[in-house]
Amino acid sequence: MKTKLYLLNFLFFLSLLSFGQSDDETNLDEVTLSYNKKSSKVSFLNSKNITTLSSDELLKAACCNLSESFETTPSIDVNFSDAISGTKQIKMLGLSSPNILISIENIPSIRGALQSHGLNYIPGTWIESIQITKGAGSVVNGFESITGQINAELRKPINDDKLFVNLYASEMERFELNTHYNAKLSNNWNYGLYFHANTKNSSDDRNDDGFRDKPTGDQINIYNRFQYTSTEKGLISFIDFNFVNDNRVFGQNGYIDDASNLGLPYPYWGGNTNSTNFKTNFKLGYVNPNIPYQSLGFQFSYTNFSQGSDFGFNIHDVDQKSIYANLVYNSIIGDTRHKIRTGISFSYDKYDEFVNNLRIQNFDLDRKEYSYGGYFEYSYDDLDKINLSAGIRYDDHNMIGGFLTPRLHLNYLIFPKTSLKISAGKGTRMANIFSENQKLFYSSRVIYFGNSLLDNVWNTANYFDLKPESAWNYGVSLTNSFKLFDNNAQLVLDYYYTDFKNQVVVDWETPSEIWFYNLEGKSFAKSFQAQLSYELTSNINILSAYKISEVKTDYISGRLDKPLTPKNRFFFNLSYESNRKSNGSLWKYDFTYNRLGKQRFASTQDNPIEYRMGEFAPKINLINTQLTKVFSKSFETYLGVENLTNYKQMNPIIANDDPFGEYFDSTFVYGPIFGRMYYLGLRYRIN
Amino acid sequence: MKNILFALIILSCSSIFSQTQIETFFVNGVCGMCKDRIEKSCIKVEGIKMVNWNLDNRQIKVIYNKKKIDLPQIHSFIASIGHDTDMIKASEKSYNSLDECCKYRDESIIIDHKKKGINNN
Repeated sequence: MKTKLYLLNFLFFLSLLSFGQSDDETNLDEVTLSYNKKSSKVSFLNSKNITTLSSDELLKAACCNLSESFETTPSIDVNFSDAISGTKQIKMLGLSSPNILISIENIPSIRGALQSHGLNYIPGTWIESIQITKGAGSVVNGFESITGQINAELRKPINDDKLFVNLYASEMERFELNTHYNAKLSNNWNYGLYFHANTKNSSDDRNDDGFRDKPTGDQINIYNRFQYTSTEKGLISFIDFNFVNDNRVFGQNGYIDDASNLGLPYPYWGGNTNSTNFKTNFKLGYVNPNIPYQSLGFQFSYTNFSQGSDFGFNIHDVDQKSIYANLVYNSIIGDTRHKIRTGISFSYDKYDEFVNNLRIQNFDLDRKEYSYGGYFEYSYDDLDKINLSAGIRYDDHNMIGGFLTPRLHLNYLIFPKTSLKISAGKGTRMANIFSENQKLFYSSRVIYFGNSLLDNVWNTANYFDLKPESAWNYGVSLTNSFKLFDNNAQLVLDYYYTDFKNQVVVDWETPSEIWFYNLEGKSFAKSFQAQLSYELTSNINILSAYKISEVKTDYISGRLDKPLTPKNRFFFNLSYESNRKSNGSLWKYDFTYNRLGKQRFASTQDNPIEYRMGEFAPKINLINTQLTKVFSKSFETYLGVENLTNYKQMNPIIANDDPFGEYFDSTFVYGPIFGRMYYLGLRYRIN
Repeated sequence: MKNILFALIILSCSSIFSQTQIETFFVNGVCGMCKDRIEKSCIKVEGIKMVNWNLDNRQIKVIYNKKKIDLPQIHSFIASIGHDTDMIKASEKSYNSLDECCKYRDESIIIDHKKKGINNN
């Protein structure tokens, strides 16, 4: 089924405000974009390895927010971080989300203190598309990406539905409301108001461990956007305001049920996380109307995020104020086969962070991090076989100093339907250890900082001895499109290697303790993925993938696999869509199967025998499925099941009977803890 | 390093306005393969900076450096690859070298493309 989209090509210019991911086909006339209605696509001609998920792909699962948008994407792994917070964590190439540069409309967004919950602040219905770049990626958005980049494009007032309403309810008593309202204010101005609210009231404790399976709480999220477009002048602009307030209560059933205990943890273990985020963006883009290969883009963003949390006897409060600015200039050298992209950027983060660890130690981590830099990216397309992009940036950072970030991507068409991509690049970042490892507070672990091993004595250090992280990433990827029994098939084989030059090692290997120290020796992640997609019939698409990863780090206790990282994963997705009837109605069905291989547990052998976890978590099988009935262009309903086979991890919390004791630990989560979950929802729209 | 980058930005900004000429004219053709041929051949010509041929109205937009190439030269180049322009008609020989589906002077081929409603693109 083919959909034809007529767009003012001017809208391509949106990609100017973006990095070099789209094949900028800039011309002034109206162009016709015709695409196959495939909702998840691996780039073929682009020099970078990019998978694009359209909003249709996001409808295949409940996708309440960005962290849940990857359930049907084998390149991204989704895990629960702990047994209490209900927070999902994503991984790419075996490495967790801090190693991925996550941007919203190309402004780096889920970073710093937002690492802990930021993905939950982007409701699924607001997302227009997601681009996943494996490997280093472009230098335009900064130096921080190590394994790859994820960019989410949000709905644009100019082409989103006039009115959209989505209601969702799940068996866990989670209710969500999403509404979009878009209006044309004048010839040039469009306005969008996107609203999200959710509440979670679950009283479920299905594994009878005395703890709620998921936190209760609520969220209000408002996004206001003004869009200015003038084709004649070649100008486009966005002015956005976003406000989020999110509250969660978690812990033992008694803590939540007995209101008089709120704020007084003892005798029950429990806690609260209250977060607010205010964000404003300004973007301006200019394309020379006569010379469309020349364009200038400016992005500015201010974020104020503050989060206060207590977890039993642990406290973690953090306030982050960030400013980001980026000026991008696009042009050509000679002719349009040689494109250049160059610019300057600035980033500023001010953190006020406080940690009280089990009432035995405090950390006051007030700090400022700022950097400014310039970049230059050259891309070449011989319009036949070769497509390459070479970028370099130089940044001066107050904590890191001056450093270079080179990145190279090359795509070579070996045969008309076979392309080979290679990439190499460097990433550098400051770790935010408490926000990135917030799950440690859901345990009785005592925090230690280590320093290099001198004369076999492990010296204690402090937070500010931790060095910036840096790594090289190399990748090779082969994409082959072919016909199998007259139907389209695509095979993608890729292998990526990430080699850390320095890393803040997070060492969970001693029970009741957590150590942070600089890497001495090697730390690497190897990841191989084979992915086959196939159009079985014009109504049925199949996507299957097999992944093998090896993620190892030199800990004090030796070289070990990173805990809770499956060595292999098998993924299978079948999606069916019936032919659309004349009244617009159709059925959609999706089936997703995941098999996760064994995962290593951090060592618990020093614990008393009843508090030991064994060496490995078992292999697990998970099935999600969803049925959607589209009644007309404006109304549809859906019903889904997550974890159809009702798999449950029975003992996710160590020492759940003694939560204030030294062995209490809820960080050993390898699978779902609440079993099967039904949900249903509806969507209503007016164009 | 920083200074080099800034210098590059300024340099690339200033070189824009010098010798750039923009022209739009008619070039005959019939399908996506024609578009491919016209655009890919032209862009390789020294002096041509950008080229876009619109299949719907068969207008070509060319941006070029007038110090390196002039408009008649562009017309004759396009004719030499088999496509008529509003100034120069392609020779029989170069027209005949076009693929069968690109024979834009043939009424039946034009109708054929319209029927299929596709651009081969």
